[in-house]
Amino acid sequence: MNDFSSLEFELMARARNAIEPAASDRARLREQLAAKIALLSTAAAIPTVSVSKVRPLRHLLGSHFVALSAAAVIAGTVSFGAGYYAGFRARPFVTNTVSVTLPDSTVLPPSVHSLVAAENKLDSASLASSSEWGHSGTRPKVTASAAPSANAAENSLSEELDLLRRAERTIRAGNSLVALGLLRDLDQRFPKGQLLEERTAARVMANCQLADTDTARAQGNAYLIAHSQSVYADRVRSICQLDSAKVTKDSPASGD
Amino acid sequence: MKDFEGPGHSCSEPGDVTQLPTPMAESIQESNLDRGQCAHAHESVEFDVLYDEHFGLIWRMLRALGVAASAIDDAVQDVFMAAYRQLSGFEARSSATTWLCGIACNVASNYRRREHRKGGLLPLDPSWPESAPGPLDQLEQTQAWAVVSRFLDSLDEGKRAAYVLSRIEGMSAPEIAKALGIPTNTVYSRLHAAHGALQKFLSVNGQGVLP
Repeated sequence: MNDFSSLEFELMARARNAIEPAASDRARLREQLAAKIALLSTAAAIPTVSVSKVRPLRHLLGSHFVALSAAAVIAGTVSFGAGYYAGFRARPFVTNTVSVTLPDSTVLPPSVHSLVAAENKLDSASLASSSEWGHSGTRPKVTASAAPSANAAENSLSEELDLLRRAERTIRAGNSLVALGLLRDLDQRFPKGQLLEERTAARVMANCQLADTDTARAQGNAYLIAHSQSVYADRVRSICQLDSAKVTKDSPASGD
Repeated sequence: MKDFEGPGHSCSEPGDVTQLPTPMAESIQESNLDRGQCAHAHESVEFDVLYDEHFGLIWRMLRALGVAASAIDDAVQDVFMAAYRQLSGFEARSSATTWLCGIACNVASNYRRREHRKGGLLPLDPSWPESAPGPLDQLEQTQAWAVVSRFLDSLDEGKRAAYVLSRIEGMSAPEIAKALGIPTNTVYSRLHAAHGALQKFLSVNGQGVLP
């Protein structure tokens, strides 16, 4: 090896060290990548419920039945997994029909009502009159057509829903960091999304779960003040360890 | 590459996968169970190892191939997402390393093209990196990187890729040929040309940084 080759070797070794990633880079990107892979599967595994086919049913049978039916489809999809959709990667746009029967004892969480309302674009008044949280009645056998939507807005809402649903699941699993990564993705992809209140609630819960700090609790406090009637209020209060009597309007972070 | 698929591992034994303590393993596991595809559960373990073993390589390569510090996170993710999507089609005709290097070269090329469309490459980021061991070492390394990155910017895309894989990552000419999809002789000629270009470049710009 001649002198110049030695110099070249030394120079390149130093340059290589200069562009070596830090351990924090590795960890940060691992989490971001995990979130992206999770999203990839969620977006493909959960079908879009055809709004155009559900609405006539609602007109005929009443909003109560249809809201529960649509909720049952989504809850059933999440609960029982997407085994029905095995092979979806090879055939992402195959139209198929799925039958889901929920157990009689199944109780739908409030968030499902909220998400279904968004999916079907029901207004809040309609939702309030059609859903009685905590009611555990017999669920009818539901048949829904799972087909791709041609409407870009519906697709956008569906994607936003999927991301939000994934964030909520990761919070329930105690993985706040991944949840916050998902929420950052949501902010970037849907800065003017249709589920901003739900997104804020998820972020507050993830922050509180991640670190029991005054700032996190202040965010929780601010959320409860701004959205006192939210279906997330109890969970926010619980995760952020906020006593309902102590939710005050002079919180330093009340400008949420 | 380390193989996590021991004999007897089957879909009925998902515990081996779920035990992995990493968020990525959890997410991949979840996604694979959603699909109900055992083969992909195995892939997830392999992919986790693939990431661990090649993260540093891909990061350095992308930086050396001209991806700005501000875009490095996205570029690294693009490489591994592409790898994840193509993992089932990877036939091990080449090593996983050369396969990933090929993907990284394409991703870096796309980023550079995008930067050119925006009006030129981003200026060097002298505050980077954050991982140098000490102030003096950091100074030396930062100076070296400043010179090397300017030199690399002066090369065309083909020579740059070959030179980076050879001199920064220490790959052999046949490995580089596989990664870039070019004949081995072309690799040698590109390396020779780049070596000559470096001599000229340093004779003008190398004062104070040569060891």
